[in-house]
This record gives sequence, structure tokens and C-alpha cells, in this order.
Amino acid sequence: MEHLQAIQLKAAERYVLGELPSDLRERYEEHFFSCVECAEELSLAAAFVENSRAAMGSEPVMPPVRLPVSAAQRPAASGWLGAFLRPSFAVPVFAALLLLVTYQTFLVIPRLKTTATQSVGALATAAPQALASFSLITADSRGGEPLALTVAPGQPFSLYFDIPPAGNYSSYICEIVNSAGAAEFSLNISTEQAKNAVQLLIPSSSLGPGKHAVVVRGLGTQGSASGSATEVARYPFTLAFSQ
Amino acid sequence: MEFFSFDEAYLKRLRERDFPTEQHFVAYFRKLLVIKLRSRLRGSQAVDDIAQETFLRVFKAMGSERGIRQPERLGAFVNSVCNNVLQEFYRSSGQGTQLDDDTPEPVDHVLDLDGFLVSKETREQVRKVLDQLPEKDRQLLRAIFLEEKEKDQVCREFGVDRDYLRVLLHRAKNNFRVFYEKSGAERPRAPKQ
Repeated sequence: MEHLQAIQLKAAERYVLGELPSDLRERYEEHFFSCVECAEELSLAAAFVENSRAAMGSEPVMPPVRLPVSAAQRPAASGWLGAFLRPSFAVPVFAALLLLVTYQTFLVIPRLKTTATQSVGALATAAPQALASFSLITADSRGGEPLALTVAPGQPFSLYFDIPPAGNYSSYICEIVNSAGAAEFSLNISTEQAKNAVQLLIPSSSLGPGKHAVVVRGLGTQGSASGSATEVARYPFTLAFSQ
Repeated sequence: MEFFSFDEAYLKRLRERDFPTEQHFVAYFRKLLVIKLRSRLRGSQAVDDIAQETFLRVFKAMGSERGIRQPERLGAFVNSVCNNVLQEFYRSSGQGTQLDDDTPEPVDHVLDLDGFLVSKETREQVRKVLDQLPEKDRQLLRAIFLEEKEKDQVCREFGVDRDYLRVLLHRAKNNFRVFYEKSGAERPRAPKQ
């Protein structure tokens, strides 16, 4: 297995999750025994899993977050709840609710605006549409080539990436820079937004083909001059348009 | 991350039984051997025995006249010796070889090192990473790692797919790396030449 293949496959994660078929597993083992970087990645993944078990094993159990179950799976109501669900009470109540919903739907018409992110402005759409999305999360792996993205001309697409938690920044600036290092887009990202993967909507035809990078800088650490920015992540990628 | 290379000088020091180099070699490859063997075997005694036998054979090969000639192949050699010892173990324990094409794929289970890489400091570092995750992601990892529930079922319950789980682990691992590299703990340091 080549090093780049191991990175792109997220082989370390698949290995600890037990998801590699036996032939790939053996090829990955041959590789990480010879590759210091991949050995480190695997050791980190394994250490994280082991220590997660230890850390979570000593925590109190929180109520599970689950998807809502269908009505068919819910147990039948009984007791005082059953009294409320008797037809003589429930039918008039549901009829009143139906009238209210009809009034809201046809007489109070909401305006729908969908925005993909706060990064490149709002995108107003009248109908859902599929959006090509690309993960830059592995693009900063050492030794890896920049990710090559191919999008349809004239179509928007999205990029998503992580902001490392290191540093006590008050906020972040995210820029998309071209091969010359000039900023093509710039937007602010709050620390709250940075807790999860950040997704950028790139409007159609706003970036030209070629090399770009998403550069994230932290702003305003404690003890530093306000306004100073420190680069915390860089995600290179190459953009091409399909024919 | 500290990078080093298994070069001619490293191999020479191993042959000369240089103690710091031997210590580094054993610490570095032991971790990888335990990870590899635990992905196939549940019993920690068998894992220890096979790892020990692997090191014995590798050191013996270093001392022989033909020996290991290509230092950059040192890691591949360790892996190869481990595979041979593992095959012998399967035959002697009556399990037959597990490396045949006819052998059914192993059940999809998360790696369990039986606490091998756990330490108080590392556990606290991981706890910080977990605390930064959304509650849903924390519970997802709990269901997979601690409760050892079947992954497809858990993904269905949480409304995610397997790729989400891999990306979640990848991100969490990268966040953990920040704390881990700051502490510099528990990693075998290459001996200074």
C-alpha cells in the first residue's frame, strides 16, 4: 500500500474500527511497519480509542440521543393519557389544531431563505438542490498531496474542514487564497462555529481553476496584541472544472 | 511528531547491542506488534508470547552472518517474522491458518488493546477532546467504543453513515494529537547518535 493511499483511505481509522478487509489489512500492516508517519497515525488512533473507553467508562451515563421513533413503534397510551386520547375528546381538539395549521399555511406565508454558511453570503433558493461537497479534513496530513476537486462549471459547491482547538483565540479568520497567496475570500468564524466542522459554500464560478488553499488564522489570544493573527490550519486543494 | 529513520547507523547500533537503541527498537515495534496482534487475537497472553518470540527471532537474525542487509526493510522484516510466528501459533493451537483466501472475513469489531495504551495523563487528554465534541458525537463514540454495539445499528440509530464515523474519529484523533504532542509522553524517542 502506498503512503498516499493509506492517507486517502483513512486507513488508520478503518484499521482501529475493524473495517479493513483482510487483504487491505495485511497491506496496510506491511506499510505502517515501514512508515514512521503512518505508525504514528495508527498509534494515535489506537490510543484515542483505548483512552476513550477508559474515560467514558468512568462517566455517568447520559440519556441517549436517538432519532424519534415512528408512531407505530410507540407503546399504546394508558391511564390519564389514555383519557385525553379518547375519540370524544381527541377529535374536536385535533380539528381545532387542523384549522390553526391551515390558517398558518395559507394566510401566513413564511418567506424561506436558505443559507449554506455565513462565509460567502446568503444563497436564496426556491427548491432543494444537490450540492457537491468536499472534505478538506485530510488535506493537511503531512506527506499528502493537495486534494484535487472537480466540479461542474457554473455550479456552487461546498468545502468542509476542521479548525484545531489549540490556542485560546477569540475568533478566527478564514481565507481562500490563490497560488500567489492573495486572498480571494475572507470571512470571520466564531469559536462556537469552530467547535464543529466548518462548511463553506462556494458560489458558482467564484474561483478559477488551479491551486487554492483554505487558510485559517486565530485572532486575539490572551497576552497578544489585539488584531494579531496566527495561522492554525491550511488546507490546500486544486480545483478543476468538468467538461 | 518526531521523525527518525532506520538507517545503516541504527542497524549497526542494534547489532552492537547498544542499549538505548535496543530500548527504542523494542518500544517502537512492540506497540505496533500489539496493535497488529490484538486485531486478530483476544488473549493478551498469546499476544505477549508472539511479540516476545518475534523479537527473539529478529535479534537472532541480526546477529547471524547473513542477517538483515537492508536497514530500510527493518520494519517489513519485523512484520514478516510476526506473520510467521502467528501462523505457527494458529497451527499449534488448532485454529488452522487464518491467512488463507478461503477464510471468512473477520467480524467487524473495534480494536481492543485491553488498556495497553491507557495512562492517567492520556486519559485526561482524551477526556478534554471528548468534552469538546457535541453530545451526539460523544454518545456515538460511547456506543461504539465502550458499549461495543454493532456499528451499522448504531449508525442507523444516530442517523449517520460509516463515513461519518470515520471522519469523526479522524477529527477527534487530530484534536487529540495537539494535546499528545504537547505532552511528549509515552513515545519512544530515537536515541541520539
